[in-house]
Amino acid sequence: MKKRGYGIGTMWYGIGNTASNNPAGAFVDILDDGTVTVLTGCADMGQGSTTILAQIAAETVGVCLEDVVIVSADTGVTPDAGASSASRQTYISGNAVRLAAEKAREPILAKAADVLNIPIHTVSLKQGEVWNGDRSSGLTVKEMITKCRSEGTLTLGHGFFNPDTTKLDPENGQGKPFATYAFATQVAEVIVDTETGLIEVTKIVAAHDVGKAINPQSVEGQIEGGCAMGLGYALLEEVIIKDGVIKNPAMSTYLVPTSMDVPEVYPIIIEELETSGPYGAKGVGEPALVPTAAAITNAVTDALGIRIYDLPMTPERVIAAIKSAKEEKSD
Amino acid sequence: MPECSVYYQPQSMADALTLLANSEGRLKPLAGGTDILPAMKKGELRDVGLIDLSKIPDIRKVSIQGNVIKLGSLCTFSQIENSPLIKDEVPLLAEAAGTVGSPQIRSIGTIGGNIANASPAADTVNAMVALDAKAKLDSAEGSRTVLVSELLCGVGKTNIQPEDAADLDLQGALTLKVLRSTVAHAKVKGFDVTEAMKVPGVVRVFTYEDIPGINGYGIIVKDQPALTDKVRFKGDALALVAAEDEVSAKKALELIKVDLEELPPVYDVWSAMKEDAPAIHDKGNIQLISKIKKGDVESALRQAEVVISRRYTTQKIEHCAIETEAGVAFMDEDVLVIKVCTQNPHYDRNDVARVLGLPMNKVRIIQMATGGGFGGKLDISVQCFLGLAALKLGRPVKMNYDRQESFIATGKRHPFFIDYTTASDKEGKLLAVKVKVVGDTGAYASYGPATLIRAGVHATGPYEVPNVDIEVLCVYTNNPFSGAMRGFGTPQMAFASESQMDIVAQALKISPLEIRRRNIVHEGSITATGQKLEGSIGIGKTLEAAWEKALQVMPELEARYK
Repeated sequence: MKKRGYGIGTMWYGIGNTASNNPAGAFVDILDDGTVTVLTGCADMGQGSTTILAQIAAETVGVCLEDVVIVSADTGVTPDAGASSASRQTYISGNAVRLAAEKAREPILAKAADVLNIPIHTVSLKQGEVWNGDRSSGLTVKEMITKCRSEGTLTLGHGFFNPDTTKLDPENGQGKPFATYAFATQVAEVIVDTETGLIEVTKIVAAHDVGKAINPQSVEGQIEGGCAMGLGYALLEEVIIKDGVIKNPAMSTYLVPTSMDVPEVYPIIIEELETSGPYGAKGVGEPALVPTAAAITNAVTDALGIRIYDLPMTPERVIAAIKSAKEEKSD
Repeated sequence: MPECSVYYQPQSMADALTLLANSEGRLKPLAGGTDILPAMKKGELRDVGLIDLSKIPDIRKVSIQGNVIKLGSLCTFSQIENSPLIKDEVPLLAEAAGTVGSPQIRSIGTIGGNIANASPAADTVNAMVALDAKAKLDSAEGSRTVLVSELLCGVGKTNIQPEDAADLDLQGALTLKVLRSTVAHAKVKGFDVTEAMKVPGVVRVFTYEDIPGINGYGIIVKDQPALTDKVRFKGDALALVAAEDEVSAKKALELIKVDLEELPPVYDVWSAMKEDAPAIHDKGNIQLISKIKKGDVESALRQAEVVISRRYTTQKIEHCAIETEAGVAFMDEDVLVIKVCTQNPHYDRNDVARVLGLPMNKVRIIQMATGGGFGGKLDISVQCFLGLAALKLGRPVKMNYDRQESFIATGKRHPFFIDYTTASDKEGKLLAVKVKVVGDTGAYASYGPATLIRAGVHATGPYEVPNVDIEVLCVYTNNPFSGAMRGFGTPQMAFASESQMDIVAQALKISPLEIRRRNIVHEGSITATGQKLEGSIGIGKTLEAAWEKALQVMPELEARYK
């Protein structure tokens, strides 16, 4: 018989390394022609940090995204940004790039204020133009850079950011391990075949509070990928070790979800702005995956009325759980 | 004909490659033109110039050398279809070539273009994949040979342009291979590499005695030797072979003799924690104990309406990033340059410098396009091997883990044993949680301490819990080591804590939604570590938004939860 069930999983996730200093640095150089070079140690392994950092630099300097080039993860030229782990790069390297870009634009703002003869705090830079309050002044950012550079003033800056944390007390673990947390709730729908023990995840709704979503499409991608990975954790994946030997070190015997296994995922982005984050951003890389197995487990329990306490919930485990529940009843 | 901004007709391959190298992508090679001309006609390749390859000699030939059939890249389909050699030796390819388009297309379309464009309609490509055909790719910088099957990445996509670390091919680079232990726990008494060194092409065999710096790396605890003098798991690195080619390197691995004094292995955390267990590391097998205590759990348990205690276990899993670990290294004057796939370049630099006894600024790590990490590329994998060989031999070196080695030699998600007790009042308000977690970090700490501490900090879930007693232990065993993986211990804890929430809700006949509403953190809540939450705390909004959407897309949900 096929039984349908629903389950909720929630999670919280501290952004950055736990209870330790984990700063990131960045350099920003605004060039003569108004384009921008950012040097950052932040390694992009496909999650999209390079795009995010370019967006932050572009927004801060007031130029178009196309005018920013990111040079990343080369210890010969880029400053230390720490690891691309702990969902930390948008928050920490994002702040480092923002701070470096703010420093680099200082002479431009000063020059614009001087040319326009207005107080510096009313000047801002947006999409290549110099703004006076809420109006474009007609001056371009590029003109101001050229002026600065022709007068021998370079427009470059460095910045670093270290989240506000404390160590944990060694006796009782009290302290402030993280400056900010991401939150999420996922709801899973499953169909369990009580004959075969197969669990099919049919839908996942995934609502994630990521702070400001600097790149919403990329956030959605993270959420969808995280759900797929969480599904594998819940149902399929296990490195089988016998007497210290991995028995399934191959993609043919170690099962990861395929497109046939991954359900429709409904990502929902909640933007609770974090004041200490760059433009209000926190992070999403790991949170995307954290509650998925939990939600699926609760959905399977809802479907069967039987709870499984060991991952992964393979068909063998499901059948064994159904069998032992029957035996308990008949006892 | 479509418009073309520039048109070249080089007379030699060298001229064509120079043109292509200097074109910054503005010139496209023109073979048969059956794909590129229609694309230009549609206006898809504006401002693109063409390098017509038709005048280059010798790339239109079908020939046989030994047992290898060579096809020039400009061989047309009709040429292949009608070649007696192809028809006799590889009829599959002749048949495939005969099915391409129409006779007109077959007489101008080329096999080189068919591969390079990765068109989904490329009939000959399937045959070439089935035949394990290799493609020789030339550029101004050099040439490389790749399996056609590995060249194709998707519709219209190839990796003809080298990008990933494994695709880099330095002129004269040596191939590195690691001899890995097949026993789990042993002292290394000595090596005999005499026979291995006799294999033609083998340049050097390295062991722990060749490590010039401090032979221990690790992000938190420097407990992992680059080449070990004590085996701690089946897969530990014993020796490193540098050879002119992969076949010689593999041959040498089989001929290295290692003298080992076996020690009793420990494969489970409970045996490993016993006082008389064989010590895997000098300081014992319990790598870390960390506690979080707040309030008075025992009295809360006594006052509770419901107390639920359960044991949860989670498994070891592998990241399975699409790209396995790979890199190259070479000396740039006195700077050691390592180009590698990594999530952690500056850490790599620091530990490579430590192991090789170099100043940090004499090691340069350049991240190559990295095909996924998920935590698996935070640790050292190939970096120290590459650095050691390049430094000692003064020659460029390369290495690439295959999938099996990637499984065996890199960190995994920690298996957890979680004993979880939850206490609640009759309204479903949580009064206390008591949690003990034991994580199997295997042979080395890697990110184990960070994983277990984070697990402890997050053990309550995003809920207000006034009384907590959390204890986490990170334990060494002789299993392959566990390390960082997306979530750092929190997916394990969410599985346990969210199961607990549903069990408590069921005991009190409250809905899973309602019990969460009653307990989630908000502005001003105090966490298990005593942190007052301030600022961005969106758990409530995610709960309501997810539920609202679930009601829309899961039609039977509402009836179920009435």
